[in-house]
Amino acid sequence: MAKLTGHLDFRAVPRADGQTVLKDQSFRAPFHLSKPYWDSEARILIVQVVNPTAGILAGDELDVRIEVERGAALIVTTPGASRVFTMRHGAAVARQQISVADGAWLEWIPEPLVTHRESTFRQITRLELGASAAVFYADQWMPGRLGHGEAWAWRQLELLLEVRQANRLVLCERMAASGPELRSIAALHGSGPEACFLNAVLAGPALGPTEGTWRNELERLQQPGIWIGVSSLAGQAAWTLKVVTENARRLRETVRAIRAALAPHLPYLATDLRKL
Amino acid sequence: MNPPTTVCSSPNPGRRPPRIGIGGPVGSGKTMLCLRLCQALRDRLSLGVVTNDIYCSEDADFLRQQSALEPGRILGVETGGCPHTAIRDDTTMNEQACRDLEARFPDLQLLLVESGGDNLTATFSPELVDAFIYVIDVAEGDKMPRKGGPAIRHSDLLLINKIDLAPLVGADLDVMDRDARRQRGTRPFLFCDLKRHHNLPAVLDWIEHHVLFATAARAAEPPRHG
Amino acid sequence: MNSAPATGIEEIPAWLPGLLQTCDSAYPTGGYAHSGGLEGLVQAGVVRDAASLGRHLQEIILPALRQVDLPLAAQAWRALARPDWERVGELCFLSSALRPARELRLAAENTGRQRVELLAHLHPDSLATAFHAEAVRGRWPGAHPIAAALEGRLWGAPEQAVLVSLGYSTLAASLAAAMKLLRIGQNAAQGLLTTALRQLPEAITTARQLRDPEMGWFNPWLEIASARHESADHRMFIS
Repeated sequence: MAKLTGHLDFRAVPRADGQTVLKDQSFRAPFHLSKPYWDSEARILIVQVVNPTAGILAGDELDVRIEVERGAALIVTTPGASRVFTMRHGAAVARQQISVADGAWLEWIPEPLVTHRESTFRQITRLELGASAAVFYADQWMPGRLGHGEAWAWRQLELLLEVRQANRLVLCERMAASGPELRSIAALHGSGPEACFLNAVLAGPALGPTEGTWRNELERLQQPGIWIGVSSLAGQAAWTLKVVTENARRLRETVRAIRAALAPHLPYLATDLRKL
Repeated sequence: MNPPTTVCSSPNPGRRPPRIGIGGPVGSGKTMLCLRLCQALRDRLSLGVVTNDIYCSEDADFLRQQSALEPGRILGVETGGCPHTAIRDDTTMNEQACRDLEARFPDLQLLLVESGGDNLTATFSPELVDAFIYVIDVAEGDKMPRKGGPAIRHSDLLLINKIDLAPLVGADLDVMDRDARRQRGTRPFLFCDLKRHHNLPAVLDWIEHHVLFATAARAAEPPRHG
Repeated sequence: MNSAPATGIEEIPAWLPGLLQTCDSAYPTGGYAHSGGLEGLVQAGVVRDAASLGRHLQEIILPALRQVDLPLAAQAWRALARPDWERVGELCFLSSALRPARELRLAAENTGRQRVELLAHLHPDSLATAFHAEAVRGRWPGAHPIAAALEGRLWGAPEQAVLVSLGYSTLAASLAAAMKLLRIGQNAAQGLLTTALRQLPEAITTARQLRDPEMGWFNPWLEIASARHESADHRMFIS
């Protein structure tokens, strides 16, 4: 299959009546935007990014550029897992540039990334936040096609996440490991052979300048098979949230529980993501 | 009580509020002394307390629960299981906590630094505190002063606490008095029962004259040259 | 067998005594109050004996050194040659951003700040005082590996020696903390240190070649344990 150079660009802006709409949208395979859904009750726009090729292949280069402007409220998700297929040679790369202005809200919650046997994938995400921008940015990934008994078999996975808040670098994280390397670390920490992950960034004035009761509510979700921790980043009112679960089902349940626990503080998280 | 000696060996007297280190074995009454000092002085002095616990925030929590001071004026510091190091050899953690309180409360007039419970060899770095009170209690045995060591000998003030327990534990206060004089020479020591405020006024008097007054007097001295 | 020739004092590099001073446990930087996340992992039951501690050193501490502290120190050592203060400040901010968990970040910041203050005190009118002034002016966060590079520059130490010194200090501090947290004897601890030190040169070789975008180490378990340690009821260590 030929390699693809795809892109997805748009701006989320508020109309005069307050409804968020997309402007300047442009996409090219493997990206496809289905018609955004305006949830009039929650007053938020839900965008589903569909991948018509069903996955990422060797040589693919994906560029995402999204701006969420002041007064806009946006959810970006995907209908299914993002698959990185087996690659005999080469690698795929995704570059994501996301900016959220002061007074804007973004929930970024694609379904988990699934890296297949002998795949090599690099994702570089740069998240620019205004000083009072509010976000729930969540990357999830699974160790492989667990339903097929395939786990930790990818060649190299690199996930770089840079977050700037009010132009100050507050987070620079780089997960770079082969499947066997991460499997070994997961085993050391007792997370089992099917450990799944969530790495999230939370920010927003509504959460308060210091950790409030919401932090205790999140940490109470920890139980055998679920590890969860919250800690404040170098910036103002910005936190890192990390979760490891023993399997995919518990990851899904935990993500649901996290959204519910945070919803009283970040009401947009009460929105139904409209998935089956 | 023996004749007082002048304390306050801070290298920068007058440039920061005076600090008193409070050391002593676990359970000897260091936290009770902090509480009593806070209760007695908080209405006329701006106070702060740094506590060093070995494995929990018990002492800081106790002081907060007792409303010794407003909660923000009490800081707990973990010492990595090295209470001696934290007050003597590498006082970084305590110095940072003191500076934190000094920055938060620029009007601070006295800082108490309570150690995390230590043995008779523990002393405070003169770069961390201006004066050092060491607290022992009679229940540890009346041989304690006789054992000596840098803290018993060289602390600026030695308190022998819980004297109400002496008859119950068979401690002879005369023996403790004799040994304390022998070990300390002219350095002062006091028998007290801090829980019941016994001899607390004498402790306050010592602080007033030999820490607060001495520090203020030093600060008022013209700078020396050469 | 020929005996080795006597070594004249002039053959000993002038920077060696200085680096020995900075590696000494008596060097007052507050390092003893930090476990680098180990106490949280012990509380979580992940590190529980000599075997799991050995794996922790191999799979967590050494890679983290290779990907974060060592490359930061190497880059800072190079930037301090001129010195390029803009680059040094950038590295200080990067040092903090590379540590998501608050306790681990504050440990690196506070220890770094303390080291620079101490250096400015010990070496008046030197690169250290200039560094301190720039850090205050630029509101740089403290950065432990950058301070290590500054120490190296003050003593005229080569880059590799600075990295060896930083790597040794980190590994030795981890084991010092481990001996308080676990039932592990001093000889067993030195055995683990010896093994880890043999692997340090390889980590240094890699670290020296890393560019900024290649720095970083991700360990969600360590981050989670460290985050939960922030509110633990009982703890000996600040981090």
